[in-house]
Amino acid sequence: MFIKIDNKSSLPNYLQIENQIKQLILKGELKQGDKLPSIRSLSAELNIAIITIKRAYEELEKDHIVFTEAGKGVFVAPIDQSEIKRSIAEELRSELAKTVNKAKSFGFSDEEIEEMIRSVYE
Amino acid sequence: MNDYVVSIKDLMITYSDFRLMIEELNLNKGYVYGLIGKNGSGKTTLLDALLDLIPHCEDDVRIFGQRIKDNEVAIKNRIAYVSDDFVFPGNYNLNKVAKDIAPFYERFDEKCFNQLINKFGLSKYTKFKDMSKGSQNKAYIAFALSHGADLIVMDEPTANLDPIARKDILDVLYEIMSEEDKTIIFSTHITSDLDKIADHVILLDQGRIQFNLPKDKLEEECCKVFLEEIDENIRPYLKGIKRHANGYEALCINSTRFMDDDRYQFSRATIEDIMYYWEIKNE
Repeated sequence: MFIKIDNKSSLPNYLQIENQIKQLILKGELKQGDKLPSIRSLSAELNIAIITIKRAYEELEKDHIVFTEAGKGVFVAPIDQSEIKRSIAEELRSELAKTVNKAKSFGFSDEEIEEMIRSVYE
Repeated sequence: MNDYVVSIKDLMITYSDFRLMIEELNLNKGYVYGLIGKNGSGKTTLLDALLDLIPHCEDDVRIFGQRIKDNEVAIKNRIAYVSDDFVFPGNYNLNKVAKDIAPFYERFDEKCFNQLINKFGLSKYTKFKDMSKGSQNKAYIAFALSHGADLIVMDEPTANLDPIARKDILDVLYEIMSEEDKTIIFSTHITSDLDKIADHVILLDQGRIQFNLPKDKLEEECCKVFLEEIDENIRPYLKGIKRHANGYEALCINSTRFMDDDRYQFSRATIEDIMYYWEIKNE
């Protein structure tokens, strides 16, 4: 499972891992019932601290995106795309808000900002 | 019942100009603990006391649930120790170490030892006194990590190593940690190593623990913050306040509480940042 940590990102490492796993699920690269790598093997493979991966897995479990089967491992739960999207939406929204506020602080109008967002779609 | 690998309670060591006072410190099995602090904060004293290398009260330290003195050989068999102070005799080489010293350890693994020697680019026959400081460090580490220790204690293990050598050491530590029951505690100034591998970070200052936090909590809660004004709500949570032309900069130690407030601009703090802001006085 390929995960990349960006140490310069404003997001804590565990959150980055969480988001990337959600992405893999939304993209279909991780499917319902797939077993996630063990925390320790992933830690050794990606050179990330064990507790960071543990926290990511715990948060995913809290969101019912994965579940733990005692003695067997952590598995992808039945996928609810809209649920996963909703769990990321709040974060995306606050990142957008930061960018919009930044633009406003430079004097961009609402229309100019909307035009900028539209141009990003292309 | 506690299952801690290391359990410290009311450990006090007094020197003429310094006192180490650890009320409580428990290390869980299976994690990497990073110990940071200024020079003179007590890191070496703490690790020395942990291993009975300096005298202390009988009842304040437990390793694997026991006092070292109650089962010394069995316990020390399971501990690996790396430190600048600890040296093999100068006219020894790694080959002699394998012949003379390794037999003291029940689980010495010669194959693993040879692999590490290769990986670290060491020679088995060069005498320690003829090795560079960095190579000596790597040699001690190679031996320490080859006898199946369950607790690995290291005092500034990578201080003399170049970045490539440090990466090699970290690689080996990650491999070791992929087993469920190994525990590492190491003190270091090279906080970028801890950013990578530490699961918990312990900050020591003037002989006392300032915090002992899991790294995910540390990243989440301890962030650099830039503010135009200091509200009395946030002030108690700020450390190392610095004044700038158009505002203040500080470390916020409860960032999740204030993260959504537009007045404050948060950015990630590295462990080095955290150490720095924690130490400096407010302006």
